[in-house]
Amino acid sequence: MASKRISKELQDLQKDPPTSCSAGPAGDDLFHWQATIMGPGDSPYSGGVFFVTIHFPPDYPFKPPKVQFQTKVYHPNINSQGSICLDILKEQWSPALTISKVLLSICSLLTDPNPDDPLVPEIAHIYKTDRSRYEETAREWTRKYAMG
Amino acid sequence: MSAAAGAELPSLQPAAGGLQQQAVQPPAGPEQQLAALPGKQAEAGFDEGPKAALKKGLEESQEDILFSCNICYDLASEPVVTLCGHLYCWPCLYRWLQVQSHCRTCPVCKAGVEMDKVIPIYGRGGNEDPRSKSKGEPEVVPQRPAGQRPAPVMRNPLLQPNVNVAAQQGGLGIIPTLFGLQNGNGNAGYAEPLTPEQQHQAFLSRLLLMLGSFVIMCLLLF
Repeated sequence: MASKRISKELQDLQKDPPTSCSAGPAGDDLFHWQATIMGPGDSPYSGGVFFVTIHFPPDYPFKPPKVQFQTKVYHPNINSQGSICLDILKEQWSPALTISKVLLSICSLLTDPNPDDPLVPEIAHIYKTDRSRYEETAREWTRKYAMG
Repeated sequence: MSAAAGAELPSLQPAAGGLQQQAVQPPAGPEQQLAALPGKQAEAGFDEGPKAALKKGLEESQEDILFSCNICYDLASEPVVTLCGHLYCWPCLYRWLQVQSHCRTCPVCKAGVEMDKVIPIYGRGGNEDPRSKSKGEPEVVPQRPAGQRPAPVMRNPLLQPNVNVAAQQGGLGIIPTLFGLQNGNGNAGYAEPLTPEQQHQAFLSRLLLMLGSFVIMCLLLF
């Protein structure tokens, strides 16, 4: 069932690709995908291209996919391992969600960080107290790691 | 219109085309006109009816999506619908409700879902696909809950059997009360279902009425 559902999602993604992200199998394995997210224009990540890996569990869609950033990102909810703190990837997961919706949620997390549920408390603190410094660092990291 | 005529009178063509379209289309409501709009831009498919072609294309892709399970995205097998209106295969929904530990919710809208409150959908064909059996689900999925069968509600209150029984009782006196009692019980399927309490009360009041009339008869006779 999992592979059938994953290939349906792949078909939908190819038929109607979302703006600002793309995704597909990394190799022959349908359960291992690679995705790219374009930094949202109204965020300090603008202009960057971020690589993301997606692992589908064997009991997908009853369990959420594992999504991780490969590109370094300066963000209160994304740590140095690339792990993402996002409710729909954990307890708020629903089998009616798709990879396309998950990627869209990650895009909006880039635009609007959630400093009240941080994965990197230091960045969350800077985000809350010194917004311009946060934006400057995020832009710098984007230039360094997500461009070219 | 031939190509030669079109070449001779290039300026007339758009107008003529417009006329032709008007002639072909029957007087349509605003809805139909809207549906035909994209067809007008594509000049091909004019003979077979652009509307038909467009509709066909849309239907082919949407029919599956309309009746597909919100979990496996396949055409729903053993379909059930939740009270919030979302369609699932019964095995898919059952498995999801088993996975959820503390609070059982609809995957689409997060409304509460109770296993025995989902409504099965019985289509025209056989309800069971033999292929789904042979696949061999690892866990045993119980039968989906059966549909409820509420008693039909009479639209005309004068035709309700309850009222007839009451009329008989009024017209014929005491003995039909006994029949009325039996009638009322026998026709319970047609009448609005009474709660056990109401039935009990009705029985008691009839018993009292019978006793009272018996006492009066005794007084009169002796």
